[in-house]
Amino acid sequence: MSRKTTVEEQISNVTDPRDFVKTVIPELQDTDTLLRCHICKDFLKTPVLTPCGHTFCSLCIREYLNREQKCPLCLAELRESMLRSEFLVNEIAASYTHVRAKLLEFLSLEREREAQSAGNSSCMVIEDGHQRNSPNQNGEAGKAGDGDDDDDEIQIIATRENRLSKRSGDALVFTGHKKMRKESPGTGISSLLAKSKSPVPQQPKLADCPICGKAFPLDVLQRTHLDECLTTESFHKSENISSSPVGPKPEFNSPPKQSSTRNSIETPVSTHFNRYSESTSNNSVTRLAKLNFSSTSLQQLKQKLSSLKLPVTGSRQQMINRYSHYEMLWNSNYIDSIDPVDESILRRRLASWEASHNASDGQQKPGGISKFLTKNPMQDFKTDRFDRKGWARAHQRAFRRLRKEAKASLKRSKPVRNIENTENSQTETSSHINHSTTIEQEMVPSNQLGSRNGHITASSQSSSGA
Amino acid sequence: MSKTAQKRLFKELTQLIKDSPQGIVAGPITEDNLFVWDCLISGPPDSPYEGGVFNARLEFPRDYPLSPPKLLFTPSILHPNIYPNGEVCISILHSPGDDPNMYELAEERWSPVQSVEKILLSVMSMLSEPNIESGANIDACILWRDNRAEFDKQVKRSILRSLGL
Repeated sequence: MSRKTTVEEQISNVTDPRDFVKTVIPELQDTDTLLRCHICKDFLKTPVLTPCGHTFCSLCIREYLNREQKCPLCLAELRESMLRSEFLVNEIAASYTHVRAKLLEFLSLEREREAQSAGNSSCMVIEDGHQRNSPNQNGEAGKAGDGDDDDDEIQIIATRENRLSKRSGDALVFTGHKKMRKESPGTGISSLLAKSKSPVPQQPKLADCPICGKAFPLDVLQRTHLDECLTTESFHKSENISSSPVGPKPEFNSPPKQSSTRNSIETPVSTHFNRYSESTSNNSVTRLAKLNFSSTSLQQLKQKLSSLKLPVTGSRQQMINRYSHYEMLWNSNYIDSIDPVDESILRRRLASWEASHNASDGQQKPGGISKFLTKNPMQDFKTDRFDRKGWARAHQRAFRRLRKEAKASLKRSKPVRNIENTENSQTETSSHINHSTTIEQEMVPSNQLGSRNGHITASSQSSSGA
Repeated sequence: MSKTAQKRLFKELTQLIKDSPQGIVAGPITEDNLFVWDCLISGPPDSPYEGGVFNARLEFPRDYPLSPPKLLFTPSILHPNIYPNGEVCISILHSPGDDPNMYELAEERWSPVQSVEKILLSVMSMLSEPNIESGANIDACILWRDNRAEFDKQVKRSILRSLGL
């Protein structure tokens, strides 16, 4: 793989549970860790459950079980057939990774504001429910001035209703500002709601509901809709955490510029839940069986591979590796995945895996898909496996140029050469395409062309550079 | 090369950079190759190795974390569980499949849920408490068992030498 970025840059892109340590809710570190696979340490991708109660990425555990039939965590006996997919965890992890960056950004911002307001007690006040500015933000954050309100934050995540009242309540309690006290909780809420209205200033009477994302007249939203929406939501939440209100939370009182992203955030909140509730087990495609390779003949192996539309090139061991890996990809996709991809995508994944894995261990060069990805595609050009026509087609232009240059140089060298020899080599140049490929690639004249001297070699060098 | 291994090594590196256990520093030697790491391990207190700083090289296989990495002290140090060539012989570095000495418990061995951090912590505890039942350096084993004073003296001497004193 070519890596363009430096290690430092890459590290800054790596997510780590400890990212949360410096936010106002360090406890999220635990949640973050729990949603990761023990093998790849990344967020669970197509998680599967073992009978011993542990969860791993489908591909990670299947790869591990190919060599060790135990649970990597508790070492209990485990076979691939015992794995069960966990659609719920899949969606929880997916929805969490979706909001993680925003959550982290928001929580760190909150911490900064906390630090700011702790040093600077000049909290500004909400002047107007319909007008938002940065002092307003500071005023909001002012409530977080005390370090011991982590619990409040957690409750805030739990229910928005609670959060709204709590927030304005906090503002009253913590920031000992007279002006602030004058603000009734109701005004606080309306100011918050007004905020969400900001992306559509042309329609001042409409506001987006922070829960369902639909636009309602401000009045209706405040009086009835919000309550309805929260009720429905808590009902949803009891079934599936993936539809938790964490989604819209970060942007809810973040700077106004971010509220424009509202719609793009609100949609996935329900899509993860919908995907989960509509998920069914995949019975249309059957599990790909493991082969007993020791009792499988080369012919059978080739048959099996070609019936799956896989290349049948390479050594026996490479074909075995190819089958095993494809079997893993297949079963993970069709048995464990909530959203299986097409076979052609599986084959592409297999090809990219082969390029990096199946080439290095064997002494023989790999064939098939990865052939042209490896360094020396000319390795087996003398055997039947070499795709002569394909090669000739792929390098048609270079060959044509090569022939032209060869002819030109022959004309020039005619006076010093005997005619018979020249004609001979001329016909050879045009008919033996594959031999000219040899020159082009390896710059070693083959037998037929060996009689000729520097001219051809030089011209072929220049053409290989094309 | 291997994407899974590389990603996982990145995660572990990030983790070690953000919060490394006391007495341990580790990271890849060059930016181009994540599969070879250099580690500095300080000798645990209340052990003959106290005060020393030991350099070790971690070599990861391409199929990491399915297979364990190799740990080599460079230069080697006198220890019952370290081969004269510097290679460390502890159970966490052996995959459950290969058990050269037929005594190690399966749960102490390598599995993908282990990590660089856990390996290095095990090495620290190996330095404080050698396991002479699975000796890698027989001479060191005998010396440690029969003549602890001499063992301590030799270790101290090599520490001083390594620190250039």
